[in-house]
Amino acid sequence: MLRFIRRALVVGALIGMTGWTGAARAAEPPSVTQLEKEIAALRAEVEALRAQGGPAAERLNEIERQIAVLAQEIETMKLGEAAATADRSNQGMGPAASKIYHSGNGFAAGGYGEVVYHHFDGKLQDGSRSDATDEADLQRAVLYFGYKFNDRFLFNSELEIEHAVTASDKDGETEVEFAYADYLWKPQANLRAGLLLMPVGLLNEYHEPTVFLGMNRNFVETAIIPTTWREIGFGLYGEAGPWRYRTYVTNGLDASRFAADGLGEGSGEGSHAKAEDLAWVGRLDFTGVAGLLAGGSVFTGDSGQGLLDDAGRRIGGRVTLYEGHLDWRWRGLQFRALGVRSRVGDAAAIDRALGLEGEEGIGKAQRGAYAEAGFDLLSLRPGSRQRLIPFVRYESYDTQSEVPAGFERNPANDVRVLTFGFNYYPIDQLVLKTSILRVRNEARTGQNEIQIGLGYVF
Amino acid sequence: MSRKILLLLFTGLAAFAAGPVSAKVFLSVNEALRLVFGDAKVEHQTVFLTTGQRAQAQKLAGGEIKSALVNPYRATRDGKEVGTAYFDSHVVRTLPETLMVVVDPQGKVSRVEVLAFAEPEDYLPPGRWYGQFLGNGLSDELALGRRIRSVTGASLTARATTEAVRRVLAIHQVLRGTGKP
Repeated sequence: MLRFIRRALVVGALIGMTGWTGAARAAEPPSVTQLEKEIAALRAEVEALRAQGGPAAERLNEIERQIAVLAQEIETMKLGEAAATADRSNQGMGPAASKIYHSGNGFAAGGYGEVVYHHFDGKLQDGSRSDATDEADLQRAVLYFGYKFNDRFLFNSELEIEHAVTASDKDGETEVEFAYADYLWKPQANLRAGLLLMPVGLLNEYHEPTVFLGMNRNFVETAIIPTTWREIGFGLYGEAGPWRYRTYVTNGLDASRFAADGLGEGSGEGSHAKAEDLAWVGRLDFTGVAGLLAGGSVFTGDSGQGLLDDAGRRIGGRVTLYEGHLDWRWRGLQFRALGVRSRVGDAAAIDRALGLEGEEGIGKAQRGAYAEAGFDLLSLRPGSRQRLIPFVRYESYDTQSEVPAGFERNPANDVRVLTFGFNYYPIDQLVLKTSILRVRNEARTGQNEIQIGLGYVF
Repeated sequence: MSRKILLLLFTGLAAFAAGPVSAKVFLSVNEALRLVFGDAKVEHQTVFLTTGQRAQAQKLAGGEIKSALVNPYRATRDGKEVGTAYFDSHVVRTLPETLMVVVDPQGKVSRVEVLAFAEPEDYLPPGRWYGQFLGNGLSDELALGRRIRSVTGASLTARATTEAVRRVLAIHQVLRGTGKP
């Protein structure tokens, strides 16, 4: 009996402690597990005492009632916020045992990263010797921080360190990839403002290494859609039926940083981004069939940002980019395709203002497309939680598919890449990858490459 | 510049023309039970799995059953069983979600509802994705990459949901094997 009382005291103390620390921070706090064990043991001891019969039976009934209350308390703690507003009396199930609300501080941390070994072919496409050096690189280490102020307001951010070291003799960078606040209004319309990931393509918003096939991000969504593309702005997002949308107003691109090999450097990245010209981006996706994501996006806005032409007039430099994408999963098969085109207005004026000539001139149009397919071989093995996905991808892009009169296309910017390899996931949050790239361009300076690496997300 | 201001005003107006503030999408336990069982009589049960039951459920689910304490909500109408609801809380990436999984009298999934989701909503699959589970019993086919298709950008949620449904079906099957609940 003494042992029983002692155990009951332990349970009471644990309940008190757990009540203070809150429930919803983790699905299974250790103290809850401990409580469950104690209660199970208590219940067994009650049964043993009851079997002895005698005047203690009434007292035992009371203890059993108390155990039921404690068990309900544990259930409430496990369910967290969902249980907090439950009104069980309406269901004839007795009063909720507790009024525990989510008392967590709302802070969340996570991250992802990728380490890669590059082996470059010793020869270029035309057979000439290459002096490219093989390298090993902590390509990205990203930390995610979020804070949920309440059910309506939350903040999300990612802090990225590229190439491990940021110093004058290294090319590493430290960047804020995004930092925004959300107002969760209703499923159809939520507000977002801050440094936003542009909702363009398949990779830009979902660029963690466990999400895409191959060691590195594909070329089309790097050269034509400058992943990770982010700008400062605000807008709406939501879903209605099978449709999901986003619509943002942001600062425009900066034409003074455009180059022949792409528009990516024109992104403001939230760092004193020029905002003389604004832009609009919108995206619509259809998700009405399980496993299917199909949609498109449009970005449009001037990029002159005060740049003047020869006559001293402001250059508009409207950039309009539109793309369509498809992601389809069926059993172990996954298939992706994307096509994108962009046009730059006043390209000749921008070239002249920047002093660019010949092949160095920016394209007045860019284009790119790719298709990839992979199959999870381990999906054929029942019960497997690992995944082994061989894949193949073909992509074609040109950052100068059209150039203004008086300028020339650089054939090295007209590229085709065939990539094959595999992703191996021992667990969902860790991936080992190998990619073999066959790179060809019209200047015959393409260089084949093997990439081997590791990606993680937590 | 005036065009810029007009653009800002337009977006601002569009934002506030979308309607009054409404309740969040998440449900409480009771709201979820009412949603699925309506006026049926709901009996809240507390079951402590034995070591053997827990081991059997883990084997059937193909994953860990962290808690030996199970709370089925068995619904009946006119004495006839309507279904049994289970609530499962688990971590998706770093934060928890709570699901309700309803099992029909034949042991098949008849409903999956998200009650609480603490991760950014970008990681929440579209509502229709959950329809894949309906009518499924516990089998090797009830797995990601088999009958259940994953979701771009929400693969961890898809995995966590599939595992939760498997856990519930396994526990239900084990309890039914002993005549409970």
